[in-house]
Amino acid sequence: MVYIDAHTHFGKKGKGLPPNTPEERIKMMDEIGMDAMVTTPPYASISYDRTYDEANAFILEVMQKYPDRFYGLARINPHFRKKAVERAEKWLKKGFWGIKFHPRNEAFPANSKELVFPIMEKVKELGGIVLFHTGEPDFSHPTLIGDVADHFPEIPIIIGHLGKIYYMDAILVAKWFDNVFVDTSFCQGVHVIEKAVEIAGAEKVLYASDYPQGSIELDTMKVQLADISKRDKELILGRNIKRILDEVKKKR
Amino acid sequence: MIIDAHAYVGESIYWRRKFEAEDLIKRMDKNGISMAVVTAPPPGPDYQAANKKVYEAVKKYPDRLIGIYRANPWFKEKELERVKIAIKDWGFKGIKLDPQNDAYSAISPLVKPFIELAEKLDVPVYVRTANSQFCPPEAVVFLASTFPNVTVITKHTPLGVSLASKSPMAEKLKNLIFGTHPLRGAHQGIDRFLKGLPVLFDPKRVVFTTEVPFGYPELELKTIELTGLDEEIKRLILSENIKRVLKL
Repeated sequence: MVYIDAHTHFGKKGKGLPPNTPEERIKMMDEIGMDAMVTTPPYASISYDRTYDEANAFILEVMQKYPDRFYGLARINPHFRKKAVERAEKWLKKGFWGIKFHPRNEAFPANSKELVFPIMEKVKELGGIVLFHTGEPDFSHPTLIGDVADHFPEIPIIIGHLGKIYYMDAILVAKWFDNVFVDTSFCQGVHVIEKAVEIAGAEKVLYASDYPQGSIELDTMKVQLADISKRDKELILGRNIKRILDEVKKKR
Repeated sequence: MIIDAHAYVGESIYWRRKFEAEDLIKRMDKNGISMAVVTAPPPGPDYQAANKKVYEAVKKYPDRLIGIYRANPWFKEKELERVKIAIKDWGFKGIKLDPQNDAYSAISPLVKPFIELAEKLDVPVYVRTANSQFCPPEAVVFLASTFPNVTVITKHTPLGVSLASKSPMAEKLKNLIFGTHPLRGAHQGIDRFLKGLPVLFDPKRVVFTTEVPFGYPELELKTIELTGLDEEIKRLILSENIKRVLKL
């Protein structure tokens, strides 16, 4: 069975919640049989490093050291406009697997043509996936991700946190657009995962924990408790994100 | 001893299958839960048959189940009479109000006679809170502060917690009790809320709830285990608090 966490955070000591070294994380993953994690700089970075330069550099170092265990997504603050596009280009060329946007924390509409689309163009050109934090009205509502997906059908896009309270919107956007997936971190419960499988299909659902903010144990349990088939659970717990990452690799 | 302070029995279009008393007992046994407070599931509007089903379940398993009457205030006087019968004759221990599923405001004049009746009968009122204009956390907090002699049991919400945990509001909201379900979902996750609980406010104001079959006892119990809370606080949350509230 492939077991990959599709949404985690990672920062060095003092810059994010522990564990803060790749070795500590690998030990933890080995203990629970986890193959790898998709990871991105933590929320805490915003307070001291709005460019995410330092935090992305740390993730790059981790990825280069353990390429089979960590798949990094570069955090980009799109308010830096031209410089943000340049940063996205730099990190993607260095080996990041895609971009993570946080429309709520950095205060921009997820479907902003001025702020987000130029970076999406860069991802389209260089290849990669895009993960959006979602779950609040206005800036991070999951329907806005549908608009982005409509403009960039070539890019695999993940609706983070399964839209939280807007889970039905998230599920319907994932059903509607072939390139949209939902991740289960901080989702509203086991029934939401069952609904996502029923409506959007198990191929569209990715297990995630938002670790270390969330709990791998609890979020894995949510998938295990869902009234869905064994095959669907396997897809959700790792095969889906592996397939998406393999396709990115193939295209590059 | 573990008491689930909020579970369901009956039929609902929101479930894939019926959830009979035996199904609940099986889930309780599997998770080491000794007793459960049960009520009828949504949707309504008329809960007479559903409440009767809960009554039958409680009669069948008096040592395991405790009944709460699900009232729809839109039926006004008639429903008030039914509540009285359920509390006095059936032995039910409280009233459940669900403004979201029955489409009324938690602070509507429709609700007032039901809270007053609860005060008169000396039973708690379970009030659903949700991301809904009918029952936002503010409305439930308002109810609890307007009726200080009535115990109001509601779900955990970040707003409810912050209002109830900081003076001067905290002093006025000692009658507001929080259920632990849903243990996950809020941005910070309620496991963090539980971890911070002894610092936040009196742990006597939190009761263990699963809302099974909407919720999962396995998940909720695991979350409480992961908090690493003091055993005494766990005991309060898992059984002692609801025993005190329901006078068991």
